[in-house]
Amino acid sequence: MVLINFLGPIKTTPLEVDFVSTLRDISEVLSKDPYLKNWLVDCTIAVNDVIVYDLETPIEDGDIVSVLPPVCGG
Amino acid sequence: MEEYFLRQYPLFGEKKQKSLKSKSIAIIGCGGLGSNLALTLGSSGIGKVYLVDFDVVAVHNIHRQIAYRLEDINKPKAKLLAKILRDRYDGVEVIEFVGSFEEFKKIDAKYDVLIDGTDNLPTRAKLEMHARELNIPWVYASVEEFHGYVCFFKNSTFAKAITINDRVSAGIAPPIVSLIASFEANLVLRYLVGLNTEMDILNYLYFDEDGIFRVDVFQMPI
Repeated sequence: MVLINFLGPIKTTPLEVDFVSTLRDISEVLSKDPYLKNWLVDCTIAVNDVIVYDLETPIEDGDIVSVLPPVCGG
Repeated sequence: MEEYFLRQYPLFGEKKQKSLKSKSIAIIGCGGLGSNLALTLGSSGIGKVYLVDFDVVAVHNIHRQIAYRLEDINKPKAKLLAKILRDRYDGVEVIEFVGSFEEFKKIDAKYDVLIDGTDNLPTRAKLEMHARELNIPWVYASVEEFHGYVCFFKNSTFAKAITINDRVSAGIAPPIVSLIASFEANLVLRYLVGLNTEMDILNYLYFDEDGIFRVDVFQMPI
């Protein structure tokens, strides 16, 4: 089981998913929800509190995935 | 002992405080983040401050760009901010540059840290590239709504981890801008004075759905 947390303004309660082996699998699961698909376009992802950028990043049972929103202003 | 820093000596000690005099920084962008950064870092004892911004003050800037007043509308931000810094502390050398970051790069200025006060992701990617060329650290910050990021980059790569696009900022109010800029300024000051400073850690500061303020930290990939 992999826990997915959504931070800041992403209004989704934490999700638990099974049968995923890469970040790409998680992206496909989340993309089924139109609200989350919209966020995924430019969000940042962390696995176990390490920022990752490769969709082929392996995901293991017990991992915690964080979805961080984009912020661009200043 | 410089009386101006009477309250800062007990924190840093005389040697560290004096060491700041030989340090220099470049603040790119004199808007919301930049005016906050300049006000606090410009009066900390850092010897030289470059202020870079191509823009003039617009009426809708002033609520969060705390250095500016209504009478400043249509005047160049870098020039206005430089005057404030000199008026607040006469021991700092302030060099204003009214122009783009691309133009500023051409003057070959030398400084110890490149500081992000910009408002868009493509310019931040350029800051990172230039910091790599100069072999100096750069400090990233971005802010909108009630959240923001801050990261002191030394070895990690911003452009790999953050999606660089021309996304436009959501709404923004003054206090969160000052909060994010203050965090950014603290990292710069700690680094320049020789105190332990986290590097390549992405800080995400936000209010959660219960209204609790949180800082989550993430290791950036090296």
